[in-house]
Amino acid sequence: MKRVARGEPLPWGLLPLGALLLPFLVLVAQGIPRLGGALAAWDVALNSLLLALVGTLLVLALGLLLAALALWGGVGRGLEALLFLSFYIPPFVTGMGLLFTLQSFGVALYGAKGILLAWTLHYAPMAYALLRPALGPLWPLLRAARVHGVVGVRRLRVLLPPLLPSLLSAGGLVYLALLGNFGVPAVLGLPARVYVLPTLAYARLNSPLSPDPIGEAAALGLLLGLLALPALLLRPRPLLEAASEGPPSRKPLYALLFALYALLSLGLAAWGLLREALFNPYTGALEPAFAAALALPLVVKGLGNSAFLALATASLLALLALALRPFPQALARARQALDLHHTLPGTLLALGLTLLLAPTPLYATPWLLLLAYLLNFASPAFRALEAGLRVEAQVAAARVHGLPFWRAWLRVGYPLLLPQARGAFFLIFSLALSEITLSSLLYAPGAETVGVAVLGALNGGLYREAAAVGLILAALSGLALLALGRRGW
Amino acid sequence: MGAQRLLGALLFLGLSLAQGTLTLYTSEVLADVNALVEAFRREKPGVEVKVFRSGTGEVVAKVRAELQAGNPQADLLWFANEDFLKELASKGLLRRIPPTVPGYPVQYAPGGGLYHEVRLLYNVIGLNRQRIARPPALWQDLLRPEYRGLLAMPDPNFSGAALATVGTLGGRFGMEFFARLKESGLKVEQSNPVLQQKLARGEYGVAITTDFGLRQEIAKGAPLEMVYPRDGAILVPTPVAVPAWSKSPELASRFLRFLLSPEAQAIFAERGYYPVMPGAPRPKGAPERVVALQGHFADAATLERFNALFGLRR
Repeated sequence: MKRVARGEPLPWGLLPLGALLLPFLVLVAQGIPRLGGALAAWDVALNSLLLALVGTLLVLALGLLLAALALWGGVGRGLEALLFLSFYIPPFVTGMGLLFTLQSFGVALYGAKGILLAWTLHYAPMAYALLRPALGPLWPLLRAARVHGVVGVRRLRVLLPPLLPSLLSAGGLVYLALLGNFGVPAVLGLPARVYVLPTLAYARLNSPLSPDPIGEAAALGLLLGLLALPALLLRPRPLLEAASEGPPSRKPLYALLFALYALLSLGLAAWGLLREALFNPYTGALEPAFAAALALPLVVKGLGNSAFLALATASLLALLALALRPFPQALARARQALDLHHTLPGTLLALGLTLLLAPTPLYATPWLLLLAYLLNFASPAFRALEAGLRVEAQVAAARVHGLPFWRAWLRVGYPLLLPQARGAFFLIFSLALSEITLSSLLYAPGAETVGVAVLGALNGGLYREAAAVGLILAALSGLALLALGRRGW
Repeated sequence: MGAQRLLGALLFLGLSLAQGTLTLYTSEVLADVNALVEAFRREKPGVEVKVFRSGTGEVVAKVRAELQAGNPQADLLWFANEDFLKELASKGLLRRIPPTVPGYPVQYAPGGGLYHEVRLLYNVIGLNRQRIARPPALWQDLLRPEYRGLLAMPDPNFSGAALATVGTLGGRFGMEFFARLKESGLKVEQSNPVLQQKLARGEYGVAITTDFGLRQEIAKGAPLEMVYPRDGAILVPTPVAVPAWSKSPELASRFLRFLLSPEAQAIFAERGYYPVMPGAPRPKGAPERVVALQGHFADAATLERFNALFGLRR
């Protein structure tokens, strides 16, 4: 079943796949000689590591709890979508929302505690999505345990050993996501001078005192790569793989708790954004800031650029994935080669591309960002078409009836794959639209993305305008989720 | 999907085909730059103006990095770091533009027009009325015990205006002054606008910050007040220059002259700055006469000491 179209040549050799690794190789080559200097920032590296570790534990615990609630309560797709909505709001918007919400209660959220709270709220749905399929098949174990008189917290001892592999691989993915996350520490850490490696690399790249900004940033990027390495060895399995479990129970109380959490996490982010965007903070009068935000050329340009980049990235990748789909091995190889570009912190890719392409005319143009986006988002796009529906049998049937190879795919294979391609498109579109890590390091004047515009507005004290754009982004992401959710994910 | 890409490609093509582009690197507040750019484009509709905006420190860093890479992009430089402009001028990297606009005071265009002051801004003491009962009158008054824990200023590594605060007050009272402010709980925020937001929302009570920004927040209804200290508000040089590497020097000098036009000068006043041209309106609520203290930017050694004092990371 694996290679029905036997004898078809691979569309390209493996050499270009090796070339894809060039940005990382350049980063390593340029970073190693300066690593000694970067070690002066050991406290920031430690900070990064600790925050990511503690954050991972919190996210896993909350994700596991939510998965358990969902199983107990028989939570269906509708409620799940509500939970995923807060995952689809870009992390830096979540951070901003929390900041404003807690500000309205007189609490300043800057620093480590704010970063951890924002991370936990934002990434818990991801842990949930990874853990529920692993937890479901184990659910009958709990019943067996009760039969044997094991109740209460001790039941965890029954559950944890078989769950451990999934926990480790989910933990690896969450750890990598937190370690590489730039948006939340940029919004909640930078103002309080709490640095993590991605934000420090960004600060170094923009430092007025540094004689060699790119080199220093590269060394920090390398340090970040070293911290990411152990998690890569856990071979984290990807998101987007569905497994089914027979829901053993339907206790509405747990479903209610699940729903309450989903609403609370959404509300915590949305309340502050709405309040800030809609009301004058001094007089309390209703003065929506949307018009003022959209009057900022940076915002309009950023929205335009981001929309274009997201459209281009999503459509090119969906088309590329479809083109490779008839050659499952080539698709898998390409995806494996590009996995690193997605799982490693975006800071590494951005710095590698800077080092590689700064002397070329590509530098300081939007095309550099497009290239970075394509490399970064290829893996999830390809994966969406790798997994799921198998159409080889149908295509083979069409060929038996005399259709040539490509025609069989065009007439039979691709139409069946269309929903999957659409899913890939919307997933990548919404991720790329509010991308901020790559953009903040690679943008050039005139090529700002909307994420950069929001950060700029926030750092320029335009809180209300930033909140308004954050809401717009959240709404767009929600719409993309709706489009995606029509077939589940 | 193909049509979308085509549309995008046309969009980019359209941008590059506009009648000349002007790239402005500035530390001006975003909304103020936008107002000026809009007005300029009403005068020259075909011109595309690209703006890179950040704190002076980051803007200077970007220019340096691009010079290092041999690929400088800016057609106009406009930020609060006169020393960097002097450095560029000494290497012959600034284009001299004679100050020929009638009535423009020559002292604002040193070196025969190497760079130009187009409006004036001062560092003053900002107050949140709801948190402070007795306003200070002198810089030294900031050390009063009643302001303990309520004080803040922006980061001189990021803000050029703050670099002038450190240089000027450090020169006048010694770094000891900042050490004592630190003991009194002075916090360092990243930028002036962020600091003003926090001051307006009561997170701080007293701040050393820019006058125009305070006026802008007051106009929005913020419970703020400002004090021009009797011993002198710090006049922060924020000149505009056209670098020699500019690919459209004509357009750049045209923009510079536009900044001195009655229209632009009125925009400055409307946004809380003191215009430089005689006869231009005064900003609303601003004192007629200001005792000015010529601002000096802190040198690298002073900045290092300040950073060490406050534990700032560059």
